[in-house]
Formats: sequence, structure tokens, C-alpha cells
Amino acid sequence: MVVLREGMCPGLDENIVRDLRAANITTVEDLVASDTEELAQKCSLSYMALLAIRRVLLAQHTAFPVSGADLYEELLSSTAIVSTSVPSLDKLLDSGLYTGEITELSGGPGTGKSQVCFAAAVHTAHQLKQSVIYIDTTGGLSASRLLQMLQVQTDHVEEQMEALQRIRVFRVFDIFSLLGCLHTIRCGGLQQASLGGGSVKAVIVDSVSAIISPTLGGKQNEGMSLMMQVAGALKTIAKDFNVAVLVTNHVKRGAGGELQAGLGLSWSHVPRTRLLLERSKSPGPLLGSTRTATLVKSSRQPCHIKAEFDLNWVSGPEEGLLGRKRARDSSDS
Amino acid sequence: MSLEQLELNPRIIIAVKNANIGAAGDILKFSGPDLQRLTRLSVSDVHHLQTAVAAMFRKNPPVSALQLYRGECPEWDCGLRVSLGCPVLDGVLRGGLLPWGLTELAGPSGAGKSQLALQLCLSVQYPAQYGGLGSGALYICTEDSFPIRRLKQLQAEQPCLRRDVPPEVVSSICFSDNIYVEHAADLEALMECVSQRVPVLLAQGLIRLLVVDSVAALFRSEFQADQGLERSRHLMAFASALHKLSSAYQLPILCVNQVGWVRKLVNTFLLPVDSKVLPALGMAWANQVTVRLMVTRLPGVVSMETQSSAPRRLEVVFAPHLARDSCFFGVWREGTRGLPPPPTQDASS
Amino acid sequence: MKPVSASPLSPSVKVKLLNAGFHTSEELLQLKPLQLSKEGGLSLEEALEVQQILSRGVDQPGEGGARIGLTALELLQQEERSIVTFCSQLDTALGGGIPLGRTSEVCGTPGVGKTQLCLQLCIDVQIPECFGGLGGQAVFVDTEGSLVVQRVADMAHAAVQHCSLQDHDSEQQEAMKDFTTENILDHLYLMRCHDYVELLAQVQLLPDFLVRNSKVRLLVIDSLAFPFRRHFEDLSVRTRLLNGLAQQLIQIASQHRVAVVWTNQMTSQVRSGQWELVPALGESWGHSATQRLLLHWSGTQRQASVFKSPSNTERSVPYSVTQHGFRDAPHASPGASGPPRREAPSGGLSGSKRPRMQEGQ
Repeated sequence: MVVLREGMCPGLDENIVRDLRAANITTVEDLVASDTEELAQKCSLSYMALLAIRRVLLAQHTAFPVSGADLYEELLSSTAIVSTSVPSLDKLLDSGLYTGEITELSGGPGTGKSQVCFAAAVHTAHQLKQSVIYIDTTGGLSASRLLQMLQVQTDHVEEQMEALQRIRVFRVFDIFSLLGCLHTIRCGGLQQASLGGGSVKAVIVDSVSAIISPTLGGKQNEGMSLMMQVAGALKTIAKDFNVAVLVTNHVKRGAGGELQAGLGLSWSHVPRTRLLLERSKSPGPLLGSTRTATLVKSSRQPCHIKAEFDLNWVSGPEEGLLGRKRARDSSDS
Repeated sequence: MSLEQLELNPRIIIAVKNANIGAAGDILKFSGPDLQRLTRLSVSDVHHLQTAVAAMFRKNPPVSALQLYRGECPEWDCGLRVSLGCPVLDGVLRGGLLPWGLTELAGPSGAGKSQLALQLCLSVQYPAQYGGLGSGALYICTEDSFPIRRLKQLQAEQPCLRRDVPPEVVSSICFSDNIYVEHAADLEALMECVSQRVPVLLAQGLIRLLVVDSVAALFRSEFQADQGLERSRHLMAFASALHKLSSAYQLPILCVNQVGWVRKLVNTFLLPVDSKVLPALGMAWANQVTVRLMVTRLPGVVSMETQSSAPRRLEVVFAPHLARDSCFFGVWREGTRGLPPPPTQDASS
Repeated sequence: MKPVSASPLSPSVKVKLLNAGFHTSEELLQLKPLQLSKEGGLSLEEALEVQQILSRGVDQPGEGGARIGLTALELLQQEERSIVTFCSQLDTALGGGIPLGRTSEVCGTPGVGKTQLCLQLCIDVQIPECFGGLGGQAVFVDTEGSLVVQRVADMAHAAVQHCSLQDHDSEQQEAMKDFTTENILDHLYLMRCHDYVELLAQVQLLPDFLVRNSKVRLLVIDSLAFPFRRHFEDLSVRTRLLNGLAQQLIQIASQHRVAVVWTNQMTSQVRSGQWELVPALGESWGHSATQRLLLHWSGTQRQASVFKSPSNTERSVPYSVTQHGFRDAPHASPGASGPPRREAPSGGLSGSKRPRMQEGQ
């Protein structure tokens, strides 16, 4: 349904467009579907000119068939796996976040979604020396927390600063700004963001539900379409730039009281892999740092396998530091 | 409120009407971008619209705490408190009952809840300089009949209780004429009373105190255990009606409540451990209460002059302006009166 | 090539444009308004508006920094200061106090000290800079009628006393002249809301208020739950309103450099056959604040737990509420020695049997 307009391709000038309209040809589809010879007669246009226009338009507007072998080749050469830096989560995710895909973390408040996002961002920026785009919709990103995590991994202030520079943060608080932001990323934002060195390997949206849920519910009917726009934009970014996309989502209780990821059925098809985070049931104290992750949706692993992880491993000011150092020592010896 | 009352360019108002937004209040329920799409107005127009509507709905402009402290905002806090008629009890409550919000008086039967409530009905009738509000009270009974004989007795003994008030002031007030009594046998009657009768009395300036004795009785008897949701919905509606009255007329409201055992909760850590009995009606009700007072009856006997009474304790469970404090009191012929602080208590227990 | 369907146009205009074969905003912007109105079947006014909206999206950055973003390093340099709570253990747990530029939720059962914490913050935000404070002002939105100004005056007086004991140099002495109970009360702006529409109206007008009173560094809403927990027939409307409100508050926090603190109630709920207390307003509401503080009891000791926080690990610390306000718990080990005298009056109840504590099944 693309309308024919002058200047769309060489040779398609004002007169031709007008003549075509007179012959009831207004869109590219119409032109391609019509019989060129007949059309040339009807509009008294040059057959050769029409054919040339048709060919150019076809080239502009068709999808190219690709063989499966080529696709596989390309996949092998381009796919990378970005570790979340949490070993047990990586195991659930079949070694990490795949580029070209959307991975979702859903969970209740305080289940460590943002912490995992931070950890993944820090890992990518520091260990892999690649850039990260972090879209913060809740105002929850804390740079000092990122620094704290980096301090666990390296003592060099310079390295820490470099890593922080590789994380580019966008703060958006409504859905149109988010769409605008994703749009900017698609046309050039990625290159800009990678100025800090390395190419962008991960795009993190924390949280996607905070921004979409205000548009759903009540009398509004447009929210659904906007949600799918966001989904489309994220998928395109993931595919076109071959980056891993990580989003977070909230949870709600189903009829039977079981936890479900938020945003409903339509969104559930968007992420390729979905993890559900919960607080581990601990008998005594109110607060424990262990969390249980359940694989809810995946195309690689059997679903509903579980893993436990400790937020202190991600972050731990003391324990984490010791653990890492010990690991480093043992590898040296 | 209608859209015409807004001080806006008629063009904007027409656009709002075209977008099928009937009530001005609905405008506040949309976000800026939503309004832009619905009304097709520009960003600045939408901003004007939202500001105008918000200004219309905002009843009072912001005031500073200093203005409030100096009593320059009588519609918020007139600075008056309803005295309990006894300096010891008033001391715990920092002057008496707040003239707004819900004050709950909870305790087991025989602890002296109704005694305190009756005394408040009397002391509210004194002029402001003697700790009253100079107006009558409405007493809604839901369970027992109104203790009329005790009221007569208290009335007769007022000069004895209120020695701080000149006798001619006491004798000039005809206490029992200013106490209105309503019996509400079921929830429907209670709601009707609160929504119909109370506003009429308030509008005529006949009362400045509402006592509901007791709330729990109706809500406990009318609902089965499995109707928890239904019950809390009605409870919320009732509390909401009370709050509306209270803020519209600066009406102090005292709700008498029973106590029950703590419900089996998984995370009991959310409640203080020393509260093994809790006021009835659960969390939904507790969230609506501004000040919660507990009275308990203690073992032993205390005597004053020729009379004796069981010692009782009045405790502030929570209040935005009071420390968790308590005092002891007894119920005497002339009314409830505080006791001097321990060591009396140690001796008695 | 920004798609038309993703632009903030009204749905009916979008449909018209899509039917006319326009897919990207660039296509629309190339045309003259008259052409657009003819080809798109729009009125000339609509066409002008469409181009106005779209060109704004293409040419200008949305809000500062939203377009190109900031690096985390730049963010770190901007990271805001915090308001102390006067409970040193809680300050440590929160990494310095309640942070500016963020939203915090305080949950707890009635009487555990939510309002007291909020009032304390309203006073602490005004501590002069030479005492390590922010020298700011505060806005308190009261929806429950829980603000009693005498209590605020007491707490302000205690804070002034506290600071006056520490004025060592001349700068501090100079600052103390302005840090008086009266000035503290004068710089605490109060708003009373009786229902949720009034609350929405107040929040709507807040950005203007904050521009005019640029020294405000704290916004308290006590409580957010109260007006939203009554008269709602359609819960999905409530959810949408709350979500919108949360976004507005986050925006206020980050654009005006204020700390936004609101309180929430607790509600009892049956989950897998057991009663438990959970914060009100539903599960998904839990996401709306950047950090969540749960105030609760541990024996007769009050405790604050940092329940959700992006920058701090979770932990519980004891605190107390005294005549002077929100303070450290007087004893280091909770429950080891008796509670403070005014906190929990001892009395005739002590002889009776132990409270019932139900554990699990």
C-alpha cells in the first residue's frame, strides 16, 4: 500500500503519476499487479519507461529470498552470546543472552530484575569491552551501583570509567518518547552510542511494562497497537544490528494465584526467551538474597527448569569481592 | 462540574466536547499525550486545559505549616480539641480528641469504652475555653440500648467532675437535650443514618460529635467468615462516608470497637508482638483509622475518697501526633477520671 | 524512517493517513500541507497539525538528553545527594538516606511510623548545607488527615536543638540564625486532598509549583493508597490512573531534582490458604517506586527493611520513634534489653500469656 509519488524512482515524474491515477493506478501494488502493456496503451505512456519504473519499484519493495544455508552461515558468523555474568542464569539461558533475540526477565518488585540488568550491562561493558544501550523508564538506574559492581571486578579507576562510558543511558517516561528513542537508535543512535569504543552488543529496557501498562486498560484501545509497535521496534533493532535485547516485565497473579508475566497474551509472543524471577522461600527471615529463576519460555531448553542465584553474587560488596579474588588467585597459581 | 466553568478559550472547550469528554474531572484521568490525541489540541493547549481543570478541582491552595501552626487556616485545623473532661486523660491525648478523622476506642467489654464515649458527649457541649465545641452529639447505638440512666447520673454529677468550670456555666447547659440517640439495628440502617440523618443535624449546627457504638457488632454479625471481600467493601464504604462527613464539617468521630484475637497471619512480624489482642475488623478498617486508643480493665481495686473502682488503662496504640503512651483511670460515680501514675499500679497487680 | 503508526497522532487521523498509503513521517513532511490534506483526506487544519507534531519529533530532541542519552559516567557525576533520616543505621542501609531525583515508597501497618518518617524527612531536608544538609524545602500532601502541626513543631524544635549543639564555626552559627522552628514550618508547604481527583489535580499543578518554589527538594504524599482504596468500581481504571500517576511522579522527581516519597498501606490477603499482610494497591504497583521501604515490628522493636532498591542490598535495621522524631533504636541489639519507656508502656498486661505467633502451616 505504498502510494505512487513523483520522484520515487527515476522516470516517475508528475505527468506519469497523474496519468496513472487517471487509470486508477495509485499504489505500487496496483502498478505491479496490472498488465504493463495494457497500461501503456491506456495511459499512452512509453512501454519501456513503464517497464523500467516497474523494475525499479519491484527492486525497492520486494523481500529477497535467502537460502537456509546462507542464513545459517550468517547466523554462525554474527550471533554472539552475551553472558549475564550470573552463572546459574546463563545456564538457564543456554549460556547467555543471544544477539538478535529478545530475552525477558519478569518478576515481582525486588526480585532482582534490575540487578541482573545492571550485572549484564557491567559485564558487557567491562569484560567484553562492548557498548550497551540502557533505556531506563523507571528512574531506577543508579550509576553508583554500576560503579560498585565494577569495583568488584577491577581496581583500576580508569577501566571503571571506560566501562561506565560504554553504557549509554536513555531516560524515557512515556511511550511516545520510548518509540522516538528506539527510532533514534535505529537511525544512527547505535553508532553514536558506540563512540566509547566497541560496538553495541546489548540493548536493555528496564522496564518495558512500566511504560506500556499506563496505556492499557480503561477505555483506551490504542495501547495494544502501541505495545506492538514497541515490540516491532525492539525486534528490528535486535535483528538489524545483531544485538541482544533484554527487557524486564512485571508480574500479576492468575486466577489460581500463580504468578504470570504481565502485559498479557499478545506480549507473551514477543520475547524469545522468558525468565520468571521469584524470591526463594526462606523459612525464617524476611529478607534473603537468594532468588529462584524459572525458564518459562525458550526455544532451546526444556521449559520450567529452575535455578537459584544469589543477588550477592551479582553485587556483593564483600562476599563477591572475595569470591572473585580467590578465583583469580587460583587461576594464577 | 461542567466544562463551561473553565476559564479557557472556547476553542479548547469545543475540542474537549468533540472528544466526548463530558465531565471536567475526566480530563485529569488522562495523560497529556492521550489528551492531545483525543482532543487534537496542541501541546500548549492541552497543558492549559489540564492546569485549568486541576486548579478548579484543587479546593485549597498550598499553605505553609507555619500558617497552620498559627491557626491561620481554620478550615484545616481550628486548633480545638474535644476534652475528655479530665486533665490526666487529656494529657495523654494532648488536649483531647482531634476535631477531624476517625478516632477508634477499642477494648474488651467492661473496660469502660461506653463510659468514655458518654463523657465525651457531655464535655463536647461546653464552650471552647472549657475544652468543648459548644454543640451537641449524636450517639448511634448498634448493639445495646442507650445507657440513659447512666447519662442522667453523669449529668447530675457534672459540677462534681468539672470543678474547673464555673457552676453557672455547668448549670446553663441542658446536657441531655443536646444528645441525639439513634438505634441502627442493621448495616442498612446505619448507612442511612450516616448518609441522611447526620448531615441534617450537622447542617443545623446541632451536633459537633458523632459516636458509633459499636462498629464491629454490625459488621461481624452480618457477614459470614467467607464473605471477607464483601465485608471489607462495605466497611470501606462506611469509613469513606465517615471521613467525608468529618472533613466537610470538621466533625470529630469516635468509633467504639471490640477486640478479637489476632488472625492467623503468616507474617506476624508486621504487628507488634505485645498486641496479642487486636481491635476487631482487621487491616482494612485499621487503615481507615486516624487515632487508635485501647482501653483494658486491670485486676485489682483502686479507691478514691469513699468510692472504689477497678483500675483501667487507656493506651494510645497509634496516632499521628501522640507517642505510644498510656495512663490509668477509674470509673466513678461522677464519670471517668485518670489516676496518678504508678507506683499505685505495682501495688495493685 | 519513522512509521506513522508510532507517532502521537489521534487514532482517526492515523487510520486516514495509513489508508492513503502514507507509512513514514518523512513522506508526510515532504508534502505541502495543502497536498497532504487533499491526498490524506484530512482538513487543512488537521494536516497542519500533523506536520507540526511530526516535525517536532524529527527535528528536536525530546527532553534534554533523552535523544542522545547519557553515558553512565556522566550519570554518575550527576548522581544526586540524599536526605538523612536521623536514624544512622537506616541511612547506612539506604546508602546515605532518601535519594533526590528518585521515588521511594514507605509501606507499613497503621501506627508503625510511616507518617513520622515522612515528617522527619520534611524537617531534615531543610538542614543547612554547612551542617551537611540540603538547605531545601518540602511539600507534604496529606490525604489521610494525619498531619497534626503540633507534632511537626515538636520535631522541628528537636532538630534545631540537635543542630545548635553542633555549631562550631561562624558559618554554622550564622546558618543557625535562619534554622529556626518558625522557618522550618514556614518552608514546609502543606496540601490537603480529600479524594483521588483532588490528588490528581494537585500532582498536575505540582510542576508549576516546583518551578516557582525552586528550593523544594522533597515531595511527600501521605498516603497514596488512602484515596485510591475506596470507591473504585472498575479496577482497571484504577490501575491505569495509578500507573499514570507513578510516571508523573517519576518525572517530577527527575526533572525537578526532588526526592518523592509516598506511603502505602498494608492489606491482608489469602495466598495458598494462608493469611498474610502485603502492601496494598496490587502486585504490579510494587514496581512503581524506585525503592521500597517496609516498616514493621520485630517483637516490640520497630524495624525498617529496604525491600527493593536498585542501589542497595536488602537489609533490616531497627529504629525508634521518640518524642523528638524518627531516631536510632536506643539499643544496639534489638530485644536484648527492654524497650524505651515511652515506646511501649509496661503494665498489667505483662502477666498474661504470650502472644500467639503462627508460623507457616
